[in-house]
Amino acid sequence: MSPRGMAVIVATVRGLVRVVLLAHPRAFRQRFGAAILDEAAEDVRAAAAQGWPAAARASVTAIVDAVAGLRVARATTGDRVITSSTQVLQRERVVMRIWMRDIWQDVRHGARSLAREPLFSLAVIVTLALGIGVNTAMFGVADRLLLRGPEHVHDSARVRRMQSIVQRPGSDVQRGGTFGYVTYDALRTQAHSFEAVAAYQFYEDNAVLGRGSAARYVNRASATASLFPLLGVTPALGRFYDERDDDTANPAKVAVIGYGLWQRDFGGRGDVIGAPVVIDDETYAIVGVAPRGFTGADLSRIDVWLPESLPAFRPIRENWTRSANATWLSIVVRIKPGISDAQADAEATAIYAHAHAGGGAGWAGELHVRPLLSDRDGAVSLESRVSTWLLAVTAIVLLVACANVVNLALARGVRRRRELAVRMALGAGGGRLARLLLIETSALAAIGGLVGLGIAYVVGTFMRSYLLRAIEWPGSPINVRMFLVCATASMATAVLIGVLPAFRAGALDVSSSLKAGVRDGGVRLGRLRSTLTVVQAALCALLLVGSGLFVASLRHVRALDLGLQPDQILTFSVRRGDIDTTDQAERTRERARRAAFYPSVLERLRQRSDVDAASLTIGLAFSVGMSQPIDIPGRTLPPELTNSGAFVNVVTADYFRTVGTRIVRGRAFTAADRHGSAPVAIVNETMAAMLWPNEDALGKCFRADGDPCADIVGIAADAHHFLLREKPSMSFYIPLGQETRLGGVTLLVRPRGDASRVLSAVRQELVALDPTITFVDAALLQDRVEPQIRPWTLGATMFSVMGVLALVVAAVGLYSVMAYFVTHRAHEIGIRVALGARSADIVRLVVRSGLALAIGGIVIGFGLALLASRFLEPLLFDTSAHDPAVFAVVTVTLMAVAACASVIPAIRARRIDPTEAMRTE
Amino acid sequence: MPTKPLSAVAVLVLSSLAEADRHGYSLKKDVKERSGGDVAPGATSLYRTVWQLLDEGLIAESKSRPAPQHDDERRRYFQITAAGRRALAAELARLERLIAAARPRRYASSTSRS
Repeated sequence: MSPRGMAVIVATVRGLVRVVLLAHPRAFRQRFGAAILDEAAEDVRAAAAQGWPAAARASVTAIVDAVAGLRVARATTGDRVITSSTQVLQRERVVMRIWMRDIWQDVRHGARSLAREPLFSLAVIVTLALGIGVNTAMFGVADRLLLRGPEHVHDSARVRRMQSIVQRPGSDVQRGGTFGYVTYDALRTQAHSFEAVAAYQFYEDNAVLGRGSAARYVNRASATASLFPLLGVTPALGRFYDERDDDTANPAKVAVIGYGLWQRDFGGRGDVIGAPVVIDDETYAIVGVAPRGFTGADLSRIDVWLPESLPAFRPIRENWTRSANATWLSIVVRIKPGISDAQADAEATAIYAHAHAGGGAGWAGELHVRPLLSDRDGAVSLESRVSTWLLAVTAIVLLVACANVVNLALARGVRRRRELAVRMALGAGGGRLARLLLIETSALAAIGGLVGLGIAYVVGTFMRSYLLRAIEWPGSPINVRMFLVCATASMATAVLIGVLPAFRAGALDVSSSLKAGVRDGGVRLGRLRSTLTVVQAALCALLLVGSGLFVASLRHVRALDLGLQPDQILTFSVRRGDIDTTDQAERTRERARRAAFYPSVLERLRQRSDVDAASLTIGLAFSVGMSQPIDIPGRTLPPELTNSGAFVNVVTADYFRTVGTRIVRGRAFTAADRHGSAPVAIVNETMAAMLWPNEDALGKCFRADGDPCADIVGIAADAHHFLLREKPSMSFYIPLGQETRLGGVTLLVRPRGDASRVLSAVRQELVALDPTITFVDAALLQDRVEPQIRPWTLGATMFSVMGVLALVVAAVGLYSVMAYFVTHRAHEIGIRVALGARSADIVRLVVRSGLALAIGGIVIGFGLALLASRFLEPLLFDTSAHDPAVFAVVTVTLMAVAACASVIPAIRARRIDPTEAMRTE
Repeated sequence: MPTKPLSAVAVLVLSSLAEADRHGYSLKKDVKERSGGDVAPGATSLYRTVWQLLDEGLIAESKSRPAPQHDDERRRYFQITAAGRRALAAELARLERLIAAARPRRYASSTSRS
């Protein structure tokens, strides 16, 4: 059994025993509670050494014993003839049996009385199932994102992720999570705080597996060999590559494949070790298979692991082990036992500063160890934070559901007053009645929990496949932990909804209840139910405000002007094999043919009716960014302008029309701007403003990376490069053909009509034009942006679902209260009608009471929302947590729903026959 | 002297403490061992019994503790009181009388069913 599994069981047993102990006298609990918990845990641990069945048996025994202990005070050896110690045990069983028989009686009675009121039972079960179901599903998500961490990490408490906080001269403090190899190397060789240091890089869909038509995208990670022993993972098959394979001077072309890839592409065969696997047109030998669900230090699926030393995907080719300028690696460490995070931070910072001694004056950097589940920048990821909120939100939904069920149960309690009073008169104790009611609610909660599991399965599957696609989800959407949570939630719910009615049953006044009619619910009961309704409305208002704010955020994200339109841009890049001939003439011919490929493609595409515009580019927003140092002849630029250079895009004539970037002034490129023509450039507004603050940039000239001075012919609007939230940076465009030292052409197409049809049509056209193409990388540019939008999609979807759910539940609650109100006051309404009240007056009376409850709820809910706004605001996108529009919409929605929920009882009230109502007394 | 009979666990706890002072966990193991596994109380029922016996003055918390290197300060040690020894003796006598009375002329055991 894994230590983690054991810890879960022990914690569960302790929790359950602790709950049962609440039924024991307080003095006993205070004196022996701790010892009992420790010993129960000890027993379970001892049994766990013999495996799962023994552990399960010991767990059940511990919990049953805690219940049976309630009877100890009464059990004696005296009242029966004891002939052997075996019979001592048997006698104890008999006591248990009598006790069980009583309960069984109550269960049967409860089942009968629930079956008598199927509508009530159904309403309760559905409400509870929804509440418990979404809670269980949400726990499953939070468990994955926040609690459990990556699988197969041994003793994960000591594994940390490295974060840097760097101050560069002339710029803001930057937090980052990527480093150069030089930082990894320095930490590995010099730090004493760490048992191990490892570095890796990983992006989704970053490599192509296989060749030709079967080729597809996979997730590749490259990692130093030290990552595997650091995490403490053992391979499912073969071995992980080691330090000798990952030699920086002479790396071996080996790969470790993921479990899923092994099953899918190699049929899970044992002889896969030594077999070749083709990644990005390179062949690697498989040395091992990672265990199922292994995702390294992140949570995303990884299909292939390659040694970091291979030159596969590194931003710099030369001197890569020593360069401090390029950063591309995430670093994880295992801290030695007894070393505090602060000590580790101090040592790592000193080493970092030393390694970057050449950073220049004003450079200051710190390293910090962060929890493994922080995102790559070292902060708690937005998705995780949204999930935390959602966990709270689902708990609120469960509370609303519970309030509703209590409401229904109270109404039923009023109907059952006579029955309960008769039982009491016949000698049933308050305790027995309370137990009966508790058993009924437990049965309802148990059924609700079971149905809830089904709902959790559906909701979980939906969230996995639509909202959190990037995460590797091991196993089914329901697991043991979720089952335990569901069971606990159901039990807690049963107690919560059972205690109040049971308490009231205990306080029943027999004689007056026997005498009284149905009408006498009592003013107090009415007030309690109204309070519950107000609480529901308040929680509902809170959730709806939350969902409104997230929906507004999502709308703002979607409406954001990125300076280009990624949802209108299809991107294509082709891969071909190496030119496998040594004949120089042949090679030259092939190169020329490949160079002529794209222009001929553009020509073909222009004739298609479903293509609005097409162009070529080197450098692509949200995908590849390249920058070049710039200078202006005759001027010395301040260092903050020259330090980072400017982004460069090499583009063809129709580029701006294709991507939808506006030319603010001057002109776009034309077909006449090409190789050999006068060098020209288009700069963005930021570059124009920074380099020529008080002048017109048009007609000026600048040099990029030592190229000839290019005349500025146009000024383009700023466009985003990588992030939804980013400060505009200097960027310029030059015509294709005038570039030097830049390569990697991407074809951009602006489709007319259905984008996905155009995508596959263009892909086919490309392959048809050139049979030597091995793979066409085709995508909608929006797909690259989408991951950044995910937290808001997640928040908006889930908050809205929960909000609507709570709204429906609260509406049912309000309806039941108003229906009760009408029954309760039928007498009074009858008198009013008799005295000449018109039916409109009656309807107004009822609806007004309903709206009053709703308004009370809205006021309180908004108060809560304002209190929570401080914490919610950082999660929103360009949206104030006090957005008046959201609050207004929520108010209107709630009032409308409240009016609808009260109208039906109101109409029923209108039909009250005064003679009938007054005669019932 | 208690008037009502003791539970099986209580008898075994008393007889165990009559031999030596013990802490809760070792008491639990000893009770199970000396009953040949027939009476194996869990932590809760054992402590409920202990609590009851403390309340009746048949056992007491022990002030003397083992040598520090064997000791765990969170553990509570229990010892039998004089009243406890008398109660144990009385209960054993009662059980023996009962068994003698119950044993039939011919050797056979009677099982009682509720």
